[in-house]
Amino acid sequence: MIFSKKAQFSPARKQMYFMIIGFVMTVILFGAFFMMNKYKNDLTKYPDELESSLIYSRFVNNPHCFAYQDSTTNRTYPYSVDLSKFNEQRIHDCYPLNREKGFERYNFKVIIEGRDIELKTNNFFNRVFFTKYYDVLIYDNGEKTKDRLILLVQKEI
Amino acid sequence: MNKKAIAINVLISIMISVLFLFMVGSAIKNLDTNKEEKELEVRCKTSIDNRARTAIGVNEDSDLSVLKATIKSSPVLCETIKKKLKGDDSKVLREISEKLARCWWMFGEGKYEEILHGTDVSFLPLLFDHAEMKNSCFDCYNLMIDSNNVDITPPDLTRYIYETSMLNFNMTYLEYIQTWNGPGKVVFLAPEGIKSENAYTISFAAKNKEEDNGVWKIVGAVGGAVVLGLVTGGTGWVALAGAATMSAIGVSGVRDLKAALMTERDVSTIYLTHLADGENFCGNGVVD
Repeated sequence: MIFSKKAQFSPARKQMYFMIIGFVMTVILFGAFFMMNKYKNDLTKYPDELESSLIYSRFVNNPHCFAYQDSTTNRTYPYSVDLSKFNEQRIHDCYPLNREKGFERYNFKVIIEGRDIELKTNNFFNRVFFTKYYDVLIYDNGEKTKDRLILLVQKEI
Repeated sequence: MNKKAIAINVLISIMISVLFLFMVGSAIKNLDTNKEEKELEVRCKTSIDNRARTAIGVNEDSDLSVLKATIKSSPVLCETIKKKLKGDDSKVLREISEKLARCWWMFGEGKYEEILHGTDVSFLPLLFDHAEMKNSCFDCYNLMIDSNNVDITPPDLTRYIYETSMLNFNMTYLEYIQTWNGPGKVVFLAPEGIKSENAYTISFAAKNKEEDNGVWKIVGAVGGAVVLGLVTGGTGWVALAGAATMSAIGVSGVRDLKAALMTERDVSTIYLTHLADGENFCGNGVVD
């Protein structure tokens, strides 16, 4: 096919036009994609406290952690601490963390205020982001006392 | 092929090329996630060198010009390295000192001032440029002391970096930071020292004051921090050790002093601080 001079110029000019439009359209496409993604992330954002509270509530509510469980009825008492379970082994079993890379997750220091005893997860390095307090019942050899549990929460380092 | 078909063909090929570019870019970024410590250090060092080499200055030395600009097109590709330190006091001291020096090395050994600052353009600098610079700072390392028996006091650390030679270099750590290539300071802002089961940050901060504005003199007066380095002009030492005096000025005093020390400096500086202070005052950002 033979184009006249004017006709030869026309496709070249259109090519330039479409080159620019092509680039701009792609940028707009990506811009829209990122904006939608950001909007979605903003909508589904939740505070750090929520995530960590879902983890640490197990300490006082789960019988596999520190919560007291009646041996006769198997009933677990929420917001309770069985002192016989309050030890290093139990905290590591209840909230297992990789020894080397565990600092990339939440870590906790748990203190029973009235008795001044404490436990830490294996990657707690005293970088406390926030502190939570729980009123709990302490079960110690059949005796029941009120106390306060202090939870120091360390986020990912 | 008609004109419309050619145009559509071009349009589609351009869109495919740009999409491919983005895909390759994101693939490279994802490949980058699990790097070893040494690789991260070398990548950071290389990116800093490139940034310095490719910086373009327009009328940098003249305040009388209409336009003054420094354009840095090459990005900083540094990442905070998280590391656990194990062993006794001497081993931890050696590791910390090595990391201080390594951080200094990564950011150009003081050769490049204001390397973390982004592109800076000022119109009529004599009128509008007040020589105020932002707090450009980078956390090189987050160090976690994973031992039960570590207790290093500020004077221990001061003495160590003052007296001990580097592993692969025939000069002490402090000499290296102060005198090798450019002038530098080491500021140690953990008054109770390095303790077991705590986390610390080593940060590099670029110079952000043209002259000594008095903060360092205040430090001299209260003696509240361990500061090692050249005083402006390179004539003498500021070498103070005083964890006890730090407590004497009260909690808010310590906070203010830390803030002042971490945000103002007349030469590029390496900080060793608590992780919390490093994150609060410094962070991992580059000012652009």
